[in-house]
Amino acid sequence: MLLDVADLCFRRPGGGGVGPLSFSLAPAEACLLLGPSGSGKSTLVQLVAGLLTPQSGTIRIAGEPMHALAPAARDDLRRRTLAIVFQSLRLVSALSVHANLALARRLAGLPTDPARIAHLLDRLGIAPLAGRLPRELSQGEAQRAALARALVTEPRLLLADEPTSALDDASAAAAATLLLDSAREAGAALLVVTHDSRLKPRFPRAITLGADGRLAGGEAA
Amino acid sequence: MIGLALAYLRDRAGQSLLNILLLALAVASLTALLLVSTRVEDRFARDSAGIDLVVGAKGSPLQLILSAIFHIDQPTGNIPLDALAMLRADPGVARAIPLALGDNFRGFRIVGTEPDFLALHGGRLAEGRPWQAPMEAVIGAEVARRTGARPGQRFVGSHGLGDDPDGDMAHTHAPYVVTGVLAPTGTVADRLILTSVESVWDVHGIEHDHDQDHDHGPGHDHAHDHDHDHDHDHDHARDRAGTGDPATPPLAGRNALAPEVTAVLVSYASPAAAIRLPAAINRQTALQAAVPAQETARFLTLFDGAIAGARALALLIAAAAALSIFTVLLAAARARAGDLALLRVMGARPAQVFATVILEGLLVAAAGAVLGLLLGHALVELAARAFPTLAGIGVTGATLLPAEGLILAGALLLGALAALLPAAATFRTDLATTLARAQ
Repeated sequence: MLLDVADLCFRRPGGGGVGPLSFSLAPAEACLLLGPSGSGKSTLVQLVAGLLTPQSGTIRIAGEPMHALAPAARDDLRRRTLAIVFQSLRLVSALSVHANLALARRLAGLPTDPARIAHLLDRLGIAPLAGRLPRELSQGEAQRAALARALVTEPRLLLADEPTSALDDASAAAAATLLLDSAREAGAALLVVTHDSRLKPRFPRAITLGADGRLAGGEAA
Repeated sequence: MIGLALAYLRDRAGQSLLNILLLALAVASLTALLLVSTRVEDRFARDSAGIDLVVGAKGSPLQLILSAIFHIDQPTGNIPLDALAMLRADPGVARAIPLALGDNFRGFRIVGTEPDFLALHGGRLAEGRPWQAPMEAVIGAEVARRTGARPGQRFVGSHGLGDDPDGDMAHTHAPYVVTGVLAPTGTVADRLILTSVESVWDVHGIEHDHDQDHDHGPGHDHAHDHDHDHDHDHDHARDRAGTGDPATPPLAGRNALAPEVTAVLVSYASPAAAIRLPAAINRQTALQAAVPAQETARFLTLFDGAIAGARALALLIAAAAALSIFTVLLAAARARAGDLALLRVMGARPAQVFATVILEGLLVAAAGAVLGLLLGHALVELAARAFPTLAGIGVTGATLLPAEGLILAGALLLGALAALLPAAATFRTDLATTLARAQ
């Protein structure tokens, strides 16, 4: 398994959180994690990315125990294996789209490779926007640019946190297709967490969380 | 990360530019003060080297020092030639060099003196030969550079110590001929025109007996046959009566036509003379003895006070610049907390995010420092060109001082310190909370 989450639990002092929760993801597999607001979806993304430490349970990425690593080692594992697409936090504000992608590759320890960046931007249909700053992009353009920024690091696991919540139906469908196609072409596993049930039919596999952050209704495949 | 830091600076170009200009202003002020104070102190030390005492007419001792050593003030008056003989007869005096002032050529003072004056300032001829006959002159390197004069050329001095652009006060009856040009000495000699004391007397129509003149230096051939046309362009008789140009008292403000000198530069033969000689001279009603070391120190104390005040102001501006950089960076770090969190998610190490903010501070400081250094040099150069007194004491913007490295380092340190707190705040950022808030 590329991602293996077992008995994961993280509860916040004021209430809320996620778990206990167990699931796994195979390489290049796509999965939707569906849940209402406050069910701990974003918390789960942060736990998987090693930005939070679980109170109990384990998270293994490519066999490595993210939950048990020191902060620097977590940074390193995150850098090597995964990328995250956020709903609104998409790009570094002061850099152009191209510079964002170049920086992402450098931070991932990869050569800048302008040809690869140009190819990716072209494939996502935003090649003419390469020199623009994030504030000069439309919502849809910025979302594509954020996806490009995530994919350019050649991640093995792509996490997407509420990628379509602000979009209309057509745009949401297009975004889901883009995510699925891009992850498949890149050979990356895809985990999308969202409260947007419009996406459910588009994903081959879905996990539903209840409002209490626990598995609800099992898994649909 | 330097590219990212530059991008953030470009992203808020207005604020960055203001901070750069503020810091540049502080650095320019400090640089200008450094250039001026260093040059003044260095020049004063060089020009007064080897001179233990200056003897001249009663008046302000500082004025006597400034006029006789540094040639930047009016003389206090003249003293009888007997005073020179008396000094030379004193066993405590190793060397006594007379100075006869009163004229200038294009603002460069013509100094009647003896060849020992050259030795005093390490003067070496770059061209030509020393003055020998009356109305022969050797010019300093700066005089040659600024006037283009060369050996063999003639020039006419003007009465007084200031420039006479219209030639109203020109001694057309008594032109000088340049016999030599001095190599640069880095002293006041660079901007002086040196001739014999007798030449100065002759220009002003002062009768003097060649046999009873003061002792001449070696090789000084004074057996001359000069025939001046004393039809002056201005009225020395009026000057002698004390109603002439108040700016030119020496050799023009006397009541008699007896040969006089303006001042005597004295070197002691023994330390004991330092105790006895000044007091002995000051007891005489007509003479005043001023100790260069004391007067220069007194002058520099006043000067240093002014410099310290200006420096404090410059440091205040620098502090304001640092505060401004700090405020802007802190606000920027807060405003882009999401950006910094995204960088961490993208794989940036905490130290890299920290370095980005520090680099922003350093880049602003470096730009401000470099701009300030250039500005400081330009200001000093412009001031030196606008104010001849500054140029006269060798103040120039076209020189680099080692201490400027300290100003540069100080500015960079200031930038780094101003950025330290905002940068440290990135370490304390709770990524999960920031990301949740940014979403």
